[in-house]
Amino acid sequence: MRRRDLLLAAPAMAAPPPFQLVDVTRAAGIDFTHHTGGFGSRYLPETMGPGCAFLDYDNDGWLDILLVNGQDWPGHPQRPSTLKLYRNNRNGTFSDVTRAAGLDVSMYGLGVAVADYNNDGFPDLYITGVGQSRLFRNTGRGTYVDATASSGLGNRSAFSTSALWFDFDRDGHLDLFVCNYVRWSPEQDVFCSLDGKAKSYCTPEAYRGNTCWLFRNRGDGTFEDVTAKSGLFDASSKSLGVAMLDFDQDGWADLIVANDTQPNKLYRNNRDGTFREMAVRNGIAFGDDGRARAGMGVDAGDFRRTGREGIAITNFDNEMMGLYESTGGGFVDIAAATGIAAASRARLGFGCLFFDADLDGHLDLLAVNGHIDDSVRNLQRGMSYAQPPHLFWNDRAGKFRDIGAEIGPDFLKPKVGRGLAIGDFDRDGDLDVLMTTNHGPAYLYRNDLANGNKSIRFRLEGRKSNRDGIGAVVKIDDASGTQMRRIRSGSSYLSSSALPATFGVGAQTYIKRATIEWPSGRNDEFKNLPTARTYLCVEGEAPRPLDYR
Amino acid sequence: MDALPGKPTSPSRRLVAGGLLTLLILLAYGTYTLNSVRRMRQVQADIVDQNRKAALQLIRIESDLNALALAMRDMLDNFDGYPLAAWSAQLDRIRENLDDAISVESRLATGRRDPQQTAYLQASFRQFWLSIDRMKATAAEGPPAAAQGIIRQTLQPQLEALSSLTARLLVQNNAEEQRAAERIAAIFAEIERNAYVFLAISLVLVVGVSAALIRSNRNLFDRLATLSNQRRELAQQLISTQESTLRSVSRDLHDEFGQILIALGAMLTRAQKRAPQEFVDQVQESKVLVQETLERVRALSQRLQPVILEEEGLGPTVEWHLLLFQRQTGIAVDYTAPDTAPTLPASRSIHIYRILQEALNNAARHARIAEITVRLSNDAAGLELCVEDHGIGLPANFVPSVGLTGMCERAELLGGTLSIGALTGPGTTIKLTVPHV
Repeated sequence: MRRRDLLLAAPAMAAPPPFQLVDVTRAAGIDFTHHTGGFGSRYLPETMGPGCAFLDYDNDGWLDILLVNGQDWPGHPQRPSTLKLYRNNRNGTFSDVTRAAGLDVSMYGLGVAVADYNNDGFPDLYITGVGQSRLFRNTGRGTYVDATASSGLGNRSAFSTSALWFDFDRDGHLDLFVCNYVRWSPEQDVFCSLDGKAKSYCTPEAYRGNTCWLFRNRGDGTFEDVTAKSGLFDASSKSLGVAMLDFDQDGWADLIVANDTQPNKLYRNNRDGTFREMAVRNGIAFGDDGRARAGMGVDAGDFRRTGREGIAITNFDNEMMGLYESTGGGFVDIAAATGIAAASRARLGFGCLFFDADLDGHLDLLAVNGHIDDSVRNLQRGMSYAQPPHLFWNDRAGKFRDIGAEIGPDFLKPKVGRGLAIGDFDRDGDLDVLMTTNHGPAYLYRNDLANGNKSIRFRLEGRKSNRDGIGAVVKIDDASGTQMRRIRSGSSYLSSSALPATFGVGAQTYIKRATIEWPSGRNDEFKNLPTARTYLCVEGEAPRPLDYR
Repeated sequence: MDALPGKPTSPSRRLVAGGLLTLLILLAYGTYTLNSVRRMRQVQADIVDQNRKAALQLIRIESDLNALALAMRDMLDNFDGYPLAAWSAQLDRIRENLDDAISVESRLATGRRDPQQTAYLQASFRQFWLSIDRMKATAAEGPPAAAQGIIRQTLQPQLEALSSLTARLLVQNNAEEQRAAERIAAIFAEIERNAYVFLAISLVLVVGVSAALIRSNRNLFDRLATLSNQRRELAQQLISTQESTLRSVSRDLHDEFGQILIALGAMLTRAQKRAPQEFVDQVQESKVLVQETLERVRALSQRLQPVILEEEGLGPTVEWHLLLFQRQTGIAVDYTAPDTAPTLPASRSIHIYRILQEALNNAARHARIAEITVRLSNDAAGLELCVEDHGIGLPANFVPSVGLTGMCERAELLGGTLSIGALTGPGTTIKLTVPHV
């Protein structure tokens, strides 16, 4: 352990975790249940969703919750279902404002990407799903309008999964990347069976892949499909998760795409509107055995505090999670060495996110699990449909310890986990957790941190850059060294986390310096900032503190 | 007396030679095994590993060809309305990967494959990429139907041919790997056979060396026994000679010097009667001197060869000697006489007497004692003499003295045994057991 780490007020790893994740779903008034539309059909999309998001749709400074939902299959009506928007009542409870917000829309939704694509200061939504995915523009008056057709994103039918907003051409307007899974429709459904009799959910090998989409934001509220022009077109992909990063550290946003049974893709931004796929030569396309794994969720973060972003990818059971460390010249899977591989072997992972759960200045890793087939228990010994999530605690010495069983009885409850998002809904400084489950409820976990560790948070507002500051890199220097976070949309699986960057600083009351590298190329630097605050950082202006306690 | 054996020969040279031979054989076998393993590793590295790597590259080529086939199928399907040019990047990626795989595979196949075959593979791919480029150019310029025509009429058949070629190379690769496996199996069999030969040779050598050792040991023991017998005979002769000499000296002292001194005493008595008054005292002194000399001569004669032994036997001799010992040394003797008087001839009793004499002398000299116990017993089994003292005992580095060796020799002459041991407390015990003849 480095000497400077001792300065932090975090406990030794042998001690129990200093926080509990308490299930406050019911108390918060979240009464969502995912509807798959299943009628015995066992259509592939039924087992894939749903996603979730933390967003501040009404810009009141308190995080609201969006939960994506499925719907009945055509010809098989069961019950109406829509996605759900819950407004934060600022007292630990939420109110269902779906109808009032104009989001009581029925669609076969899967994922959500949140960002202010039109730079009007209010977060917009892109809901992915089976068939036509939809863009909902925030009117700024607490409502959304469907802008799919007017934005040029209409007339596209696919099995779309995760999506993210990023400014790949650094023109100040957020572009949209959408993952598409396989070419599937009820008419093309293939009969698959595990026991030779009953229909089961097919693995993606049964279907042809599909290309991801890249839509360039023209800045006038419309989008241009630049999938082919950018070199991202790849009809063989079966993509489920996407995260943005800058692996070559050139200041231009790159992408890592997790593919199911196909090689993962690592797209390097060529800075000219095109991308070059470099996953094989960077060692992230395949598993150690040379086979493409079943990539589901993905996230990128500087978990080693080297200034380079590593990558986490959840995979199928018996494939283990991948945890890739950036060596500067590529990636090396260190899941086995860090203890993550063995712990995740018997789990089928979906959403995964790096976040500093105990605010000790080191990124921990959260992953939700759940099998795709409810009969797996009968077919695979030791495997269950509902599975407990993982919280891998960073021991600051190169290992991660699964502390799922030590952070409260609610967390470890087995679930068919899918979506995962992070955000501080109660504004107490630490990060809370939102999960969704397939054909089940959503879970809101409040982080009750007891060690007194503090955080410092930066909410960015771009001027020349996109208004959300997506793609910006925030770095802080404190007694423990340097930490970095990227303002990013997407990551995880089908989900969107709160955009502000949260840093754990232990017991420190000040940080020496904060720098923001904006996507526009501008760098802002601030010195001696008190911690335990959120700062609103407008591009080119001094930070404005917003107390979160 | 046995004849003296010839000059003994040491087995060491033969043993060293045997050891060296065994070592040489071990070295030869070790070298052979190492060479075989090296040969196997070479075969493995040259053929099996290379083949495996080449097979992986061929599988990679097959996988890329499959990806190309799927891409072409999508291109013919008017995939989601994307123009055929959209596939450009995907095709370029596959081409980059394929070129790399072919290059690696060709390197691995060098020297193992007909160069014409490699050249044909590379030429086929060149031809294919030319067709791809033509299709891409057509797609960029004209309607998709023309490019799709190239896919159907040229690219797909070429792709099929490439797939067949790759499959053939894979089969060829497998056959070569099979042959390599057979070669390795042959090497294993050879090693196994030679291991048995080595074991047999080792067994013969071990048996031979063991037999030589046994024979050598037997000779050594025989020689040792002969030497021991000779030494015993010599010792017994020495003892006999010593006893004979002592007896002779004793008799001479007793008979001749004794008679002379008696006569001298008688003459001095007569002379005293006729001597003038002034010489009477001097003659008296001479008579006393003669008498003392006579007694000393008699005592010396007794010590050298007690006449009592011949006249009265062992029991009284022991008692007489113990009294003498007690008187001379001042050490009290606790003597237990036998219930039945031993009836040994003087020629045997003298050895028992000498043993007792030596044991007492040793005790008086070394044991620092004031008392000593002597037990003489005689029963049907034989005679037993036990001399016990509670002195300082035997030293830790006790080495038998000449006297003690003589005692043992005498015991052997009697056909008995002599044991010397420490008591449970301080002290020493000497026990002589003599069977009845």
